[in-house]
Amino acid sequence: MKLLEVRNLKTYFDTREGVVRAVDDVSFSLEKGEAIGLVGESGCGKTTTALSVLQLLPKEGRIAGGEILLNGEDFAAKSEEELRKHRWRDVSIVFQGAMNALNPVMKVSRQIAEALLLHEELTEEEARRRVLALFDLVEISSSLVDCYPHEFSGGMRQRAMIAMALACGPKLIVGDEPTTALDVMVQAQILALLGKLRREFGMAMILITHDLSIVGANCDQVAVMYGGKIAEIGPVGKVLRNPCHPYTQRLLKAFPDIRGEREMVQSIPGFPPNLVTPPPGCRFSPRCDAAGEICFSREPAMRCVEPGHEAACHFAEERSWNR
Amino acid sequence: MENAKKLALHRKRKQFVEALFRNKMSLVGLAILVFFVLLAFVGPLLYDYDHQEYGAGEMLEPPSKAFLLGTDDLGRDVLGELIHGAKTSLIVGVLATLISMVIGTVVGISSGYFGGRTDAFLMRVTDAFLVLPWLPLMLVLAALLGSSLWNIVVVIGVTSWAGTARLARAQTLSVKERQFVERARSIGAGHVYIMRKKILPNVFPLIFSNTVLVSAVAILSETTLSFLGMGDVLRPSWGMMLHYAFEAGAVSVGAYWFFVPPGVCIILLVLGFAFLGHSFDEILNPALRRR
Amino acid sequence: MEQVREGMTEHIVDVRDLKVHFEIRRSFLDTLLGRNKATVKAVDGVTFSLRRGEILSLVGESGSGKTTTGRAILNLVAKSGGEALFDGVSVSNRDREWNRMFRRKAQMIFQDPYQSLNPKDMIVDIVSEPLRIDGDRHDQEELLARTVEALEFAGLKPAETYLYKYPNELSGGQRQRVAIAAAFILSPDFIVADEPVSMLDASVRADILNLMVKMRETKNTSYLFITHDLSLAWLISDRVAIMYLGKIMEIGSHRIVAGSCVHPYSRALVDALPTMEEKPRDRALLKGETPSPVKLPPGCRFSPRCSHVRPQCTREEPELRCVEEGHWAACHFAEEFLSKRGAGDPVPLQGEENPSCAQ
Repeated sequence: MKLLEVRNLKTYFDTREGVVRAVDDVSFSLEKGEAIGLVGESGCGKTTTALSVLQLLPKEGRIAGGEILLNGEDFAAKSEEELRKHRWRDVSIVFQGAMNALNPVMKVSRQIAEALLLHEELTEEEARRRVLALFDLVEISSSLVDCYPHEFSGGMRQRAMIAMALACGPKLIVGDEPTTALDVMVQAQILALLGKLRREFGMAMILITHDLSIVGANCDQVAVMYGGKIAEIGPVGKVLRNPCHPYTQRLLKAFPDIRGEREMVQSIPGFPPNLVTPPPGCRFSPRCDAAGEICFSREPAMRCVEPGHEAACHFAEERSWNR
Repeated sequence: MENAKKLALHRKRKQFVEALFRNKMSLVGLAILVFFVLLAFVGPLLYDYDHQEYGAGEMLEPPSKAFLLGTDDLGRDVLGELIHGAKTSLIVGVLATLISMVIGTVVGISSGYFGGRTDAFLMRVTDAFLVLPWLPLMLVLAALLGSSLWNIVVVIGVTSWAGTARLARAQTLSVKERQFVERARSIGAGHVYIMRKKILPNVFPLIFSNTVLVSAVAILSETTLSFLGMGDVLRPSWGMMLHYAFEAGAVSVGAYWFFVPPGVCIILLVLGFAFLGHSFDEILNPALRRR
Repeated sequence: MEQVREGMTEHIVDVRDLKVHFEIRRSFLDTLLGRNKATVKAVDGVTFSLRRGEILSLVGESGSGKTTTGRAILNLVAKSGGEALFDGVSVSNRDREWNRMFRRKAQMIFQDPYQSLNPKDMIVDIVSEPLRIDGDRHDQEELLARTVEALEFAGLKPAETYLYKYPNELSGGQRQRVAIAAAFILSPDFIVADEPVSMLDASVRADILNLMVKMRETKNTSYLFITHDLSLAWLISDRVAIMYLGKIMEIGSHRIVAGSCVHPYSRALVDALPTMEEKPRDRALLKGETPSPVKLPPGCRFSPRCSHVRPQCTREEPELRCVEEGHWAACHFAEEFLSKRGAGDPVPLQGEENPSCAQ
């Protein structure tokens, strides 16, 4: 049985302007210990997908369809009470911008202990020992155990967030742009740390990012999202070397690679689609330079281009060099 | 091309007016204020009243067909005095607030923008005005200057600007750090230009909603001063009505028609300003809007 | 001093040992106890020059001083030492006429498209503002015509539909184009671009970058491109300077930075860059983070984190020296690392020309 199976997930937001179809029929799965990267630009639905898995949606959001199977149990159908038991024990999340996620008037160690004490019966002594062990795991010096968030540097705060997320030994950890606001060196350190911890504890990971260049070395699978849907999904090596969806192809060209050719990056003309009234047919069609007539009228289904690798494009097979 | 610009500005104003009408609190506040403005400026044209006409009726007569709200202690028509007195409260309230707003904004923005010693000095002055007990201060000034209407306007204006100054300074400090101010400096804009074109438009919405609330306080201040006898004897005003009512012992005699109407009017007018001011806050500062 | 005629100097910007130090405000208690003033040495002796039409990138992490350097060159922040010359004249001189000219010829593009435009101004006012402040009388028609020209140059066509909008009605990419139009309208010779694309989606960046390259090609505009993204700097610049804790550690052509940089910090920075590869490479990542610029270590400021540190490093601070043609590094052992370059290091790249605008 797979650890996580998301089937035809739909998450909508009720706003004054209408119903925003932020996530519109998204499916993917994760084995135990596997990592998937959800890649896309602002507004594509990647964060909403992750928040749906944890059921941390804001008031206007609701799961409008689909299933979220964690170890076979459908989380989308659970009540808030039941969910609270599972949150953090089975799935936890590391947010972007730790400074906002940490309480500035509480010691960091206290906040991590809080996460522990909400789920387990522990004495103060035991809690403190566990916190110190977590500090050690994320490579924060134990001498800093009584510090406040503002006394930590950006990288250390993010490590503290990771420690908090690990506190109850979850099987799945969700990283929502965990390295976006950090320096390049610190970003590399944090990603390396996440990799090390995953291997050590056999944790699965959903890595949400807009930076396509970090999924290669840190994920097993990658799902490229656009307009609330998955455009392309598959093992990371296959997708990066043989992108079949026009959006993936264009996105790859937007990231400069210092080890490659010095070619000017290209941008994608146009704007992301309106999620209240999405365009008919393929959501990328207005911006696609290879769109055919069918693209404007019929939504493409996921087509398999090679084992495990699918793309939602009418012409996916033609684009693949793996014919 | 100029027409297109006018159209765009018009569009923005329309959005504001629409928001104003959509908000229930502002509708109530607007209704109250419109009523009183009409009462103050159109009322006197429709209803004759002579403030100097003593003995038009008997003293402290209860409401009758001749005098709908009875008479005061000098036999004057209470309803007439109420209608003609509305102008006083409104004019003093609005003018005093204008003075207070101008002084407060200039002091606040200058203080916040220049910082350093200017800021320290101006803030100490502001603190002094904030801390001084306003009532004794107003009484002393009113006693010194005399109790004409315009003096009262000046007195209230000069003693109530400090709160606005603090607000303006706080907002200026935050706006000053934003990149578009730095950009203006990098293209060679001078201090006055930046304060006028960059800081002020961004500080103004906050000041404006605060100002409407200050008007409510100004009206109350005028009422208080008049009640204590520092008001202008020559003009009808609600505050003076309360003063004379108190002096004549209308309360003990039970002549409710003399002191209840002006009291109620003052409360309603202040409420009107308060509602409008609070709703402005919601409209102009989207962060405060209820979801 | 000899008369320097405009256009005669070879370098449009000349920075010599520039220093910008900020004093930290002390509490009353500190003053009472007579504790020493703490200074943040944001920029601590930076030297480089920029030729006309050249694009130079200042790359560094937070705390490196790159942003402050850019602002000091435009005299938006007061310098504490050294010199910054624009066309041979110091930028902090008091001559009003010269300053007016300077503000016209040297412009800045800011990082945050959501903060660098006044939300209360219409686009037409934002873009025409530099002309109006400039002081020369311009009539309404000319103002409008030049505004439209600037907007269209920045890719906002048809300009008429953007003129009377407010910034909150535009997307991030569009706002940044407006900022560029406002910078371009006076045809500046020199632009400081402070992280102009880091807040934009990757798929929008190329347009902005292409615009900047277009300005260089048509008007020979020189750029100081400030960024934390080394791959972006490599892509767009002629030369790259890597800063750390207020000083330049290495400076050289983009080719050198990509393949054959010698300073241990530069190497670490290049190694830390994520690439599209599948397997994580074995790479030695630096430990810890950039320390605060308040308490600088003795000797070389990078020594506490350097994996090649030797006794000399903690005694003597290395100067920025020329190690080969057009390549300077601030390391005592730069030549040694240079000669070791070869086996195991990535091969210097093909691709000679500067990238031209993708049409």
